[in-house]
Amino acid sequence: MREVFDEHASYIWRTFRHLGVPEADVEDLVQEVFVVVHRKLGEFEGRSSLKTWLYGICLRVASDHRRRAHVRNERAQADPAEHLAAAGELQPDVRAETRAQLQALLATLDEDKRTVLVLYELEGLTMKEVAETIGCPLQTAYSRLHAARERVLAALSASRERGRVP
Amino acid sequence: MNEPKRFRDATSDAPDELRRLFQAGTEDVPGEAELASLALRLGPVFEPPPSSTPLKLSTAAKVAAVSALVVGSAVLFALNFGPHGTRPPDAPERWTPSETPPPASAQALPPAAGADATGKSPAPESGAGAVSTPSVVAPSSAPSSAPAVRPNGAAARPAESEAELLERARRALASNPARALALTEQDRTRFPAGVLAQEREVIAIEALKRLGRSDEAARRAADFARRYPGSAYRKKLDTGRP
Repeated sequence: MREVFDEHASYIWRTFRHLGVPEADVEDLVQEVFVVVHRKLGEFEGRSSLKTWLYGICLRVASDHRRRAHVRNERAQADPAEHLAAAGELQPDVRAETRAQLQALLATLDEDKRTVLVLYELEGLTMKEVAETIGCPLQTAYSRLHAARERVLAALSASRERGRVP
Repeated sequence: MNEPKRFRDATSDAPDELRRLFQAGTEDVPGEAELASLALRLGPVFEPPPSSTPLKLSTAAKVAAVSALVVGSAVLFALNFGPHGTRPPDAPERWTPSETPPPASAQALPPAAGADATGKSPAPESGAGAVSTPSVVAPSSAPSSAPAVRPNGAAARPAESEAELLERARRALASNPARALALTEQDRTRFPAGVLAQEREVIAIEALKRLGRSDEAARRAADFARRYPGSAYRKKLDTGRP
């Protein structure tokens, strides 16, 4: 378990951020992932890579979190437009500002497209791995990626026109 | 089917801003304090399995492990190796359940991942689908065991876990780095094969830095790098952050 933590904790953390989990909840969700891993690692059959398997757990934990947030009638995400408007105004730290800008772009996507984009563009999975992780046909994963990229480019363009360049 | 060039690829036709944002996104990793906080929370699950059937815990063991996790979770928030601790300097170092409640998610973790509204889990589609989060025993508002009474009538301190001891060390960093260092030595004595040895070293190195013993800190950091080449802390320690 220690080795799994050392090797993968950072990217699990990052993935939750990119999937739109509120900052305050990320640590709890990473902990949930490792509790699951602790229970299931002995059953891991190696049909996929450990990393892909972990991503699958992350997605399910994130999905559960969104569902719980919805049930509690909480706002799991702020309005993307607010994010874009706020980026650069509220975060004096450049890295935090950049993070907020990226999150604002990702927040313009629905969950399916966002997941594919995060796994491919940010986590560096191949499209075959992306499709395996989310459990959809490869062609579907490609379609979602294409749509996500188009949406992100459009959001960037729109924000430029509003003078809120991310 | 050819995969498109990623936005952050230098040869992609993505706008520079997009390339910059996505490149930064790949470099967004948790800080040393966040990692250490998480590691201390997870201490119990780092323990090697007690039997020859790893990770197939008995019900009692699961309850014990998860309970320990919950207690650990309650102890450790906002781990801060920076110059300003989050805890008031006059606050007691010893955590008690009434001081810091566990996070809501730790008290009531979700039903099995992928479970439907009825709480029933669908058949997993793959190995990755066969995951579920455990039922977590909510911590009692009272200590799990009453402290023993010493002959002189004073209550003995319950056995302190490795994570609790290191948490005390971490809390002492800002106000009393010498004590933090001493506590890490105490941890080394009490838990020579502890699963949180990395966290112990991270705290000790920080304490040495704060005590102005930079040469010792550097030597210890170099030793850390040799002993834990795959550590999640390596990047931070390598930078020699003051």
